[in-house]
Amino acid sequence: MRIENKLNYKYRILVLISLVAIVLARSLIATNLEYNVERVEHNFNHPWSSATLPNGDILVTELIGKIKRIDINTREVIDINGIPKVLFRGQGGLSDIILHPEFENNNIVLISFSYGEKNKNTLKVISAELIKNELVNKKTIFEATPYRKTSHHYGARLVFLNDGTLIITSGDGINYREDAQYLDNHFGKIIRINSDGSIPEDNPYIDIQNALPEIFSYGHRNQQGIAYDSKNDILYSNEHGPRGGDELNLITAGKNYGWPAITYGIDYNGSIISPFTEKVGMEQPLTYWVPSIAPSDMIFYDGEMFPEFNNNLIISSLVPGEIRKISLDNNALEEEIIFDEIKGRIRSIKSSTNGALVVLSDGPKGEAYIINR
Amino acid sequence: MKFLYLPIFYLISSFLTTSLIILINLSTNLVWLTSQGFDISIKMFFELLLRDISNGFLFLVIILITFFLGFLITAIVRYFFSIKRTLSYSISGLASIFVMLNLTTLVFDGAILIAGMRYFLGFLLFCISGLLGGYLYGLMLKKVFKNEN
Repeated sequence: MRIENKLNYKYRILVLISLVAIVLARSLIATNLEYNVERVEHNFNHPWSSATLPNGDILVTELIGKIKRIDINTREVIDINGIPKVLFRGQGGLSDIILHPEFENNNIVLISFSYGEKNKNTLKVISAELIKNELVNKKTIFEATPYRKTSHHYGARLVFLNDGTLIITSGDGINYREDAQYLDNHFGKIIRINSDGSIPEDNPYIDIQNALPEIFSYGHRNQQGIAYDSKNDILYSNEHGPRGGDELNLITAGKNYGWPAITYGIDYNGSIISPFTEKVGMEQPLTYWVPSIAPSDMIFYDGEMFPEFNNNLIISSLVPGEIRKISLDNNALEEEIIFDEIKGRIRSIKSSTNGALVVLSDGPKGEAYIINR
Repeated sequence: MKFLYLPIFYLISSFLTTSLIILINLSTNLVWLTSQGFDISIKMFFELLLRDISNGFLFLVIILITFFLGFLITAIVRYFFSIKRTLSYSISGLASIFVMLNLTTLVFDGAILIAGMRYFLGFLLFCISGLLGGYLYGLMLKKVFKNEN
């Protein structure tokens, strides 16, 4: 009888401890999911990208050809001066902005934009020093060739790799899609250059005759997102497909990603671009979306503020307008829609220096959101 | 009562031009794929053609609108001027497709959404498809309205 009572007592204690543990764990998880979404009280005119300065201030590019600086303490929005002349037309305009890895020493920012005239324009990347809200010492470090007659599919995303080289996405210009398969032009390519515009000696096509030495990979369509896992030196890119066939790719030097020879999408008018989805020598995407989600930007999250997102890709999309977390664990991709209270077409998502997320919505009255906890 | 034939002829000629444009568009894509080392059999070609035609509703709507305007203008012109039906509607078909192709490019700011017309030959063949559609329309009208203007 005494033994029975003892067991019963021990069992009760065990159950109690388990219950307390469950309650604690649940409250801990609930705390982890808490976050604040703050809308910056300012309408941005076609915001496209953002970059966070070391002091926490946020630079926001507007496609119309402006850069705004959000003071992180006062939330005041200030115009940056000295912006180069851009071609704001179609999908073109002032696009991406990133800080040089040595920004704290050299104040250099890199900016991509469409440049030229309606019937003769191109993607251009410049470096400039940001001194007291003004861009000075502007230098062109990349200009896509040949020029195009369209104002669509510029790509225009930028990211730095660990070795200090700069990656630029260059879209297929919509009318020049077959050129994505040829190495004598910049349509549908991922470009790798040094931050001064020179070409790294270990680029994959540097010694190939008739190939442009800046090319890092080819066979792309309109790569609107580029993200870098700096710990593991892995580069990811997403690109708009035509009708269906948006792709997430793992980018490797010298590889052919297939557009338009292989695709999971069809043309906007319903006709077939290619009946093939695979070919030897052409890379398969990590995943693809049919119907399209129109991926617009992407980060590889490794910040401290949202540890539950660590080592995941976060993608913003225009259709229907969502933010997706893509988990890459165990070689299997899992997608989850997050921050679904932010409505509308999402143009950009970036991680700031403290791990907070900066989200931009699309359009002439675009909005900026800071997500933190 | 003969006027009841008009919408039928209009539909038939529009369908002919739509099918020809789809055929040309598909062929330009497949010719390029062949140049890239893809093997495309006759069977596959016809399967793809059927698939494109069955997905070609948007094309058909655009051609219907194009021909409606083109043929209407031609009918008005023919009311005042005596021009052969086959000749006038052939020119109308060609001109209306020419205008439509250029307008769609203008509307989409230079982006050519019917890929086959990016090449001069494709563009020319699209216009000829319009000419053939118009010619068929004029020919059918001629058969029904033999002794009428």
